[in-house]
Amino acid sequence: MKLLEIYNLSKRYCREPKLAYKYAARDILRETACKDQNDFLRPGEFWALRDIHLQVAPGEVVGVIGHNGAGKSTLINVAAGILRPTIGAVFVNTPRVVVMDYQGGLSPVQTGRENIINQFSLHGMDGRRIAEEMESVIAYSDLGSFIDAPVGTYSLGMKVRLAFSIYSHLRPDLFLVDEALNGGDLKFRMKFQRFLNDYISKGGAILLASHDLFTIQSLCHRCILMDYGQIKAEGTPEEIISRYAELAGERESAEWKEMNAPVLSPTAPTVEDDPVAEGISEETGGEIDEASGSKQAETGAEAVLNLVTFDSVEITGPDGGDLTPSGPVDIRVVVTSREDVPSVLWGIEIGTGGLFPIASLAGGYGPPEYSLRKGRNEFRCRIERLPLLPGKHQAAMAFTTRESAIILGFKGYQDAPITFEIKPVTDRAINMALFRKNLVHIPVEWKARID
Amino acid sequence: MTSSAVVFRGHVSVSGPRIKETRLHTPPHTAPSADSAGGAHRIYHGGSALRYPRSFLRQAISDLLGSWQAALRLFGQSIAQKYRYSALGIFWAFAPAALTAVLLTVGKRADLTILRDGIVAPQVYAIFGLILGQTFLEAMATQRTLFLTHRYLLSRHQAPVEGLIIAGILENLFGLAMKVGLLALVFLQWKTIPSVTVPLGIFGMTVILLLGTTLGLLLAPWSALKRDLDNVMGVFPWAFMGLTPIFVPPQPDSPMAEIYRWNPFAYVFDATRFLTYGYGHQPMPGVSGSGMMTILLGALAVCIVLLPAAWILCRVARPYIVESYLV
Repeated sequence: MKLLEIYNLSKRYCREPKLAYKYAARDILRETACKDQNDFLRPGEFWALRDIHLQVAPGEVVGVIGHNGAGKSTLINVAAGILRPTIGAVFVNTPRVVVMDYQGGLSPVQTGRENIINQFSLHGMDGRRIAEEMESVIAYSDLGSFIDAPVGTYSLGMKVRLAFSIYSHLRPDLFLVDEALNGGDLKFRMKFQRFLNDYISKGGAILLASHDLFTIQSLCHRCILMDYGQIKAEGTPEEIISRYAELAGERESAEWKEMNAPVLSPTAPTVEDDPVAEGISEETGGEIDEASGSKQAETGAEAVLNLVTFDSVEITGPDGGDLTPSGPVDIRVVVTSREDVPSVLWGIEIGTGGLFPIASLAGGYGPPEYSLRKGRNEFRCRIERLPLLPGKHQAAMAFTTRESAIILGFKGYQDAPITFEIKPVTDRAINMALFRKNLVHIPVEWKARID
Repeated sequence: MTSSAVVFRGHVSVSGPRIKETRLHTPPHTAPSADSAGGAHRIYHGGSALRYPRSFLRQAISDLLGSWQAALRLFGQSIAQKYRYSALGIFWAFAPAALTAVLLTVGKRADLTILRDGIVAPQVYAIFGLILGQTFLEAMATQRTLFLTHRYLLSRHQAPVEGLIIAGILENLFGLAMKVGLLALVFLQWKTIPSVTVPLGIFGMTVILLLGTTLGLLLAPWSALKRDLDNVMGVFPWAFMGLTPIFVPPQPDSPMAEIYRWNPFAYVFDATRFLTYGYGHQPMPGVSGSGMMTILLGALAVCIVLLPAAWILCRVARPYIVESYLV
């Protein structure tokens, strides 16, 4: 028998307070008249949860991760019965359920002792048992004489200690946790972690909504990824965290596109300043690439000669395979040049979706030295260990004159993006780096502790 | 728990400018129905809870019975808090009545016509009326602000609304008991002899408290959603005190007596007076002394019908109100 069963759960919300109050009043009247809620969205509403199916069995810890506003807290609130589903149903098959959050439902005007009594009473404890547990809770919280001061006078750490002390004495079958497993000083956190490990080993179940990678990885048996109120993926914590990082990357890229960030372009001397370029310009008519040139004009960047066009760019793993974090990368580029150019540089810039440049590479300073001949040209290079984390990345490429770095051809970023993807791997260290929003992963050879 | 293919409304599709519903008759996941899932401790579903009256009532009564411990503790703490943050503490429970007594004594010494002795001294009449008025208004205010007062609790816990209602009623009963004690002192001071039906007078006071509780609960959801009612309630006590015979007895054939005739609370207040210090009291125009008990029983009947309805309304409204707090 499952402790918690959620079927076809959807929950709508209204963003605008005025409309929300109006809808709430209507819904109350509607429900009082024995009518079900309408299951369409009214103006100003959105689906905070959509078609959620989830079950939690005894002894199981299920993690819920997702970006802010993905619906994690709403899911916890609906499972706790604090909010009503709009569609679907939640079956709670135990009376012993506790919702855990930072505030812990503590009243700031009541003393710590009164709050303990209240919380225990609300969870059905009788007076005798409350009296029995009281001293133990106070000792666990380490609040000492502060227990008889109003909670409003406590520091955040003291509040957390009091709330967690209460939780640790409630011994429910199911904890519903909303971002609340960290807090207090190190000693207290370790104590509470031991309590949770013990609770789980004895068959306790937890539905845990959290952003905290460490908690999710250390406690959860299974994980779901939520995005815009829907379950995007379900699997092991490592898989889902990796998928979450991927999703976060996609969101970042989309946000960047929306922001229409200015184009990043290598700086180079102007055509007029460079005699070699002038020479080429005269021969070729000195055309300016309209696509990139016009954009660059907007952003104040320098002009690009339309001498070299990129036919194809391939960025792959060995033998055309997937790219992996800190793995080898093969780059192949085919370009067409209008003229012979004796001495050129092949420039590669690697950046994030948001155009933050991570690395600039230049080939051709030699050896080998590069040149372009009129017509088709193919170039290859290999990066032995590209220390990028999983996700979608961007590259830009240019061929320039060697001495004065006049841009002969350019591809990348805004108008002609070159994207490549480092595939996710189920590696805890890499997941941690992703959550820390790191850009690179540096492989380390870890040595054993020296005693 | 048995799984049966009961349909839960599941899927919506976007078509046209308005998002329309599509009902799935074979949802991808089947679930036990609200009625058939007898093994579940609690079921939260999208349908109206009142469409399943048996399970709704079973749960409501279970919450009512299970919330007494919490209600008693909330009541005790509420009283403690009231005096913890007040320099003059319990004095405020008696202050309005004491001030009224002083003012009326001064008025009587000035020989104001309306303050001449009737069956009881004008101070007794006014303090008694004030206590009845306070009892009604306090009971109404306590329940009307139920959701706002316990906002912190309701938005983070499945705290049963029943416990909060009971705690409020207990707090009001405590206030009434204090006032009855004050009334005894007032009776002694002005040598007023209660009638033999004084226990029924206390019953009348309890009915007034229940009327206030019922009205407060009926208003609680709307008060929590819209602050307009708060503004109305700023004026309501004054209007109520003005339209109910509280401070001075109605003079027969006076314009006020005519107004009182149309105010149902005036009858309940007068019935309570009659049953407390009884014989010789001039009842409301058109009502005989023996009809007073009928009025109180009628008021009690109103409470018996409307109080459970108000309770159900608050129970149904609770998640919607919490949701509006989270916006």
